[in-house]
Amino acid sequence: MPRDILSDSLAVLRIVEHEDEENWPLEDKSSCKQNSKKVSNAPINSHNIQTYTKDDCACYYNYALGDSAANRQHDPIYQYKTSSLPAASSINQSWDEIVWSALRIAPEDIANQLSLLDLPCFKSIRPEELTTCGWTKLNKLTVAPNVVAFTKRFNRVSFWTVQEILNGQSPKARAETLAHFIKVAKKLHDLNNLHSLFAVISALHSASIYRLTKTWACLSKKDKQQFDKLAELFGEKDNWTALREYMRTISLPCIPYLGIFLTDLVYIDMAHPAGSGSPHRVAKMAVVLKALERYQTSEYDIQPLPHVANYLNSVRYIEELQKFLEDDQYKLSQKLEPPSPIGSCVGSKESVKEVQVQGSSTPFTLSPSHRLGSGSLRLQGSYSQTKFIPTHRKCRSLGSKFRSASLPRNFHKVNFGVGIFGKSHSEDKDEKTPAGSVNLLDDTLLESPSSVSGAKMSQSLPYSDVLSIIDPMECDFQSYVRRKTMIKDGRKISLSSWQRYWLQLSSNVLIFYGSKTFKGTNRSDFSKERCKVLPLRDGWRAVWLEGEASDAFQLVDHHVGTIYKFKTGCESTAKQWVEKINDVTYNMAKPLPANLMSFE
Amino acid sequence: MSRPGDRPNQAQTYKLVVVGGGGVGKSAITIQFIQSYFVTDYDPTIEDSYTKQCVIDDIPAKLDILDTAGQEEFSAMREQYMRSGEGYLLVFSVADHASFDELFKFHKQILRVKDRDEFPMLMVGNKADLEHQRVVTLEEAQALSRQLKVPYIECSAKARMNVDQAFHELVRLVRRFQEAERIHIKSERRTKKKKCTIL
Repeated sequence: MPRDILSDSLAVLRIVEHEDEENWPLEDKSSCKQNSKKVSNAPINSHNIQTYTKDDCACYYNYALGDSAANRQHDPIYQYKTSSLPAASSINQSWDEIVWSALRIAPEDIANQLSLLDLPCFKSIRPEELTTCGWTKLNKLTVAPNVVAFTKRFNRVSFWTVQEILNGQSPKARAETLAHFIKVAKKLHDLNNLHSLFAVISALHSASIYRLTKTWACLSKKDKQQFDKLAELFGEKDNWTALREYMRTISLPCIPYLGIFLTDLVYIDMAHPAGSGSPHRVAKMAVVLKALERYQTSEYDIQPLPHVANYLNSVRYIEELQKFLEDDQYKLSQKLEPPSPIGSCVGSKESVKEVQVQGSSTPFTLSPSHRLGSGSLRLQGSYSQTKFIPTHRKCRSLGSKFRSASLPRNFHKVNFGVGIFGKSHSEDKDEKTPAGSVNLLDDTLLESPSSVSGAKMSQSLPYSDVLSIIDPMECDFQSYVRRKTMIKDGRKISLSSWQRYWLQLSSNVLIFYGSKTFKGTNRSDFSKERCKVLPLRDGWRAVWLEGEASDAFQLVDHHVGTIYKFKTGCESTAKQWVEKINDVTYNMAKPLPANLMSFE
Repeated sequence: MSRPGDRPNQAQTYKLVVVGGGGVGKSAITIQFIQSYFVTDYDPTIEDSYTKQCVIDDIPAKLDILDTAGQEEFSAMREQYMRSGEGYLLVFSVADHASFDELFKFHKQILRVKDRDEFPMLMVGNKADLEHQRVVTLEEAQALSRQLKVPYIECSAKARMNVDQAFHELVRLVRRFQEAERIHIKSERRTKKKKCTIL
């Protein structure tokens, strides 16, 4: 059983373990191959640990490639979890939380299962509950129980969304969850589930999330546009015209947002009170009821996934404490990103790091000969090679043009706040501050905007603590590799290419040496000076890609959504790398974040 | 948002939001204000059911009123619709103390959403005609009004007392606030020169 269940990423730890124990997959190649073709079609076999472990790799693998969510519906990891782990198993308490963070479930699955849960609740609403405006009365629980229950579902989904996003420690981690929920929203839109769609949109519009400027800044432009588009639907302009018009155009199945119907009914009740004998009351209410009745005939042809549904149902809170929940979420939000636009200087976690960054006068990624200045040139040269330029940085520089309806008003203030205090310096800081998790260090060097001068870059080179660990002579493992960036900070890299490196593992740091020749695979074909350093934190996991190419493995940080693929040219080397890297990261289990709170 | 002076013929639009607990008579206040008299076939579902043109202090204004009466329990969407408002009526019923106690929460939520220390709001004690059922005293309401720094007005939608005044007063508050805001931004611009990119 897991040696440390507090670890953030138990699932992968278990892979390592099974590899140790059963020496899988070395001895089981046939089944590997069979399995690798279409991982998601693997037979659901909950007691077969082997199947499970492989598919857990596959789960990451799918995740890495942004594979169709539908494929994962059959992923036995879920099956494994539900059938062989008792839900109440105390030892697996944290396992549940970890495995069942929203990020681990495909957006499509979340949207599908939410719709399946919403529909019966919506259908159970009776006309009597509506015509009497029972839900506005004190005895609403007895006269309009289903309206109340349906409303609660809305709030629950919304608060859950907020909490999931706030669980991210760094802006990038939060942006990843944010993007995930925008995808959920898109799927809900496709399903015409306007009820849960509005709940998610409301969550992103809540004060706690909306104000997270750093997090929104990490979101891709595409996701932002998607969100704006979806949010437009729920604009209250002209008496919710957009939503009313939209509902007129869509066909069933549809779970409407009940709220505007309720408001309409309240107004009809007000304008034509019961007992006034107004014929308009009956006629107008009938129009509303008829519309709702039509929606109530909706059916979804969706396969239930009990484990996902169980998870979604497990997200609860005590209604009476809702106010406190909202307050707590807001406080957490303020803690994560302090209110002042330049607040990162005051008392935040980031500022601690900042001090380290400034204090680190020795840029360890540079060879001694380059430290005095020429190094910056080389760094910039390397930078131009890397094709990945995070869009949000670009966007930031666009200033006012980038004004988006979905962005907090303060967003621009952040920028001009920076201006006051010395632009470039603060920008450096801004690049670093999202690094709530240390592993983001990788490539920040090389992918910093070229506009930042070399001097500043070296100044901003962080992590003197890492430096102290590295002994130039010490090397635990090394080989020739080719590396390709698959996903960086949650975004797919479309123009990524294979780069050749000499890779060394020293203690807990991966060191890359650039190539001198076009072909060679010997040490002498690579530069003696390191060009990149990647400290392995416990977020990193190595996964051997059994199917794809036997000499390949992936280095995954699912916290920030970064995935590198490596090819070693030799199967055993690949496996050794996986083993060595996981050995390092395995011993770094960090305690659960203090603010990981459950709704219970 | 158009500003007075931009187009002299067109009135500025004010987005006013009516907030308050369920059953405080928000819808009654709104409907009384929008409809000077009850039209028999009033339809709440059409586009302009909640807009009204009026002249306040000799300046024409178009009021766009958002009232989510009936949706009080959808508490998670409150911050979303609050965000668009330029002025808020915080409505409670003088015959319902719980609705009065809730005002504090709404007030805090609006400031949070607006990310401000103050914002144009008006406290409205409805059902003032029900003098014998009153449980929130005038003094109590005024004390909260001072505490929140939000002016207070009592009205009765049923008796059509102070309804127009409440909305008009709120528009005045919004105008004052926006004027102060413009001056502030101008001075900010002057000091920061080119760096300011808001607006």
